[in-house]
Amino acid sequence: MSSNTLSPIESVSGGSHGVQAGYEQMLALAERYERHAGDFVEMAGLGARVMANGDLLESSILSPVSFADAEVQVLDATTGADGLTVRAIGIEADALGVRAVVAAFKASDGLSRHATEMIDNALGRLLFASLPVALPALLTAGGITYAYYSTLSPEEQEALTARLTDDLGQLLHDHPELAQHLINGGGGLLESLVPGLGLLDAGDGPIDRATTNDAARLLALLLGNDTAYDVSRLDGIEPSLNQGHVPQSLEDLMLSLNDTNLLDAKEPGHHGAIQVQRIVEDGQERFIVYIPGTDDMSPIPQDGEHARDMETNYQLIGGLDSAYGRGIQQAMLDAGLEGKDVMLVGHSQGGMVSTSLAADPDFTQHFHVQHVVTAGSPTAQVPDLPAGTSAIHLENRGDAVPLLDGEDNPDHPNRTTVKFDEGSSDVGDNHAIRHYANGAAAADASTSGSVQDQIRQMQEDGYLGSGTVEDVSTYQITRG
Amino acid sequence: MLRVTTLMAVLAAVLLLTSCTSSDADGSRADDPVDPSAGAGCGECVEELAEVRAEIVALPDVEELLTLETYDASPTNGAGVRVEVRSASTGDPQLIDEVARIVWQSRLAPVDEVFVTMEDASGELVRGGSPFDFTDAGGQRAAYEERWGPRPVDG
Repeated sequence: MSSNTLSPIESVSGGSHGVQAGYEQMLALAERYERHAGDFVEMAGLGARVMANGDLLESSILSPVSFADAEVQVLDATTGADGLTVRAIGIEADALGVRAVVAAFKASDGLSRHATEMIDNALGRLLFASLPVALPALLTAGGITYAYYSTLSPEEQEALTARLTDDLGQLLHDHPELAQHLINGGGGLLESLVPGLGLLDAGDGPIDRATTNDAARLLALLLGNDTAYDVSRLDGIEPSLNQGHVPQSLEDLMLSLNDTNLLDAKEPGHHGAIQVQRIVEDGQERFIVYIPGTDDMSPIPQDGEHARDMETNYQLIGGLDSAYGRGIQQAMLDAGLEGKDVMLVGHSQGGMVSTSLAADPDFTQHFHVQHVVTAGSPTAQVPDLPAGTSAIHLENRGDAVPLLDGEDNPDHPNRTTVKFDEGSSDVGDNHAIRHYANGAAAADASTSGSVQDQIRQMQEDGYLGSGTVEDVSTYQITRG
Repeated sequence: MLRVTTLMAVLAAVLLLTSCTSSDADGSRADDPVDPSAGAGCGECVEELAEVRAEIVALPDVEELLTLETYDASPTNGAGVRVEVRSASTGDPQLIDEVARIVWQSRLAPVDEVFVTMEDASGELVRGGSPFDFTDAGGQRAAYEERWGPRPVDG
């Protein structure tokens, strides 16, 4: 009896077989067309130059008929109706056509994104604007509902609450795009609530109005936007069985990440712990950094010690630095990873910070980030990753957390998003790492070209499948 | 003046939100004292763990039980049990199911998930059905009940 029936993969976007990669391949094709057209024009010119050669012209007296025949043939092959020049023009036109199609597709993508952002922003504004009008009706409906609710027995109340929670969870599972649009309307809602406050840095997104990211930035600023951190090495923590072996698959990465995540479950004082796995093969070192997610879900941090709290979430969604991110950088420096090849593996907030760090020049000047693996993380707020970094983003249908960026992940050749369905109506449970271990196993078995290319690259880079684990060290990051 | 008012309104809304939602998944506040006897769980589960440990160690193919621990639910995982065993043989994945069965039939609670990691006698990891999802929503519960009988405790 096993629970490892593979979860269905719902979609794979981006990566080597994604839309953007397709655009780049089409543009590469257009470039080849243009090169060939240039070659043809050059060859046509060569024909004319040959015919104009002085020695050849002088020799034409010896055989005028043959010369005239050759001249006609050469001119026909170069500038004739089926000649190289005409063909070059045709090929050039094809290249131009391909470029025009790619430009049209890209413009369409941009327009679509712009329209979505505008609609979501307007939706958020509408929610706020309609509140005064709808308030009496809402209060009346709420009063009637509460009156009915209070007549129920405690058991019935519990059952009704459970039923409503279940229905809402099912709605989220069945229509994740609805939640995504509502979240994306957060910028508009807050913009209405705080008109002209000046804290929202509108205009850094695809539209000149506040987005979800701006709303998150405002919340981070309201909480103080603290980035002070402390880092300490935790000695005496034995690597788990999973971590003692070189990972063979994405599933193995998730299982090792789970073991890191559970460090503070066994010992609450170990909150904020990350682990660094050192893999050696033929004298070459690679490092995998396991980065768990949120410990403290309270909207306002409870004790001022946890680095993995909601303030960090707001900062990351808002594109700001965080204590967790800075602490991870320092921990990696303390672990001797300066200039080393690394892979970042994160769940939830851990995936957010991994993606953010991989795009941060202050971070990448110290480490060569080759791969990022995220699970249940909103990552669209990071628009681009460096060309030498590849990311794979795992998202479980019904998990609300990856939707918190309010939009789909960028469809880039170096970023692959895998959506799978391990979800149920239990929204909180859908975020658990065990679902991501199962989703990763499904991705391992997937025939998607983007996923398989990504895994193959991880193997070639020495993170999966070969070498030996020489060391696993643990660092704790707390607020300073 | 209007800006100050709206800023105060936002702060008030955030504070209100905090007071309403600053609880863990199980409804307990982060700063509340832990009551091991609360709810349907077995608390420290000392006796229950000892029974499970004895059963796992008694399995014919188990060379060594390296880890057996329970953990509470958090924002990133369900409540669960983590087991690491070393097999005496080349490693039959059936042993992983056997460990899950023992947990299922134990009085450990709450258990949403069970992670079992097994290393065979040659030092290689053997993958089986782990992780096991014991939640109602997980869709596996009926199958487990059919094969292993009902759980002796809720959760």
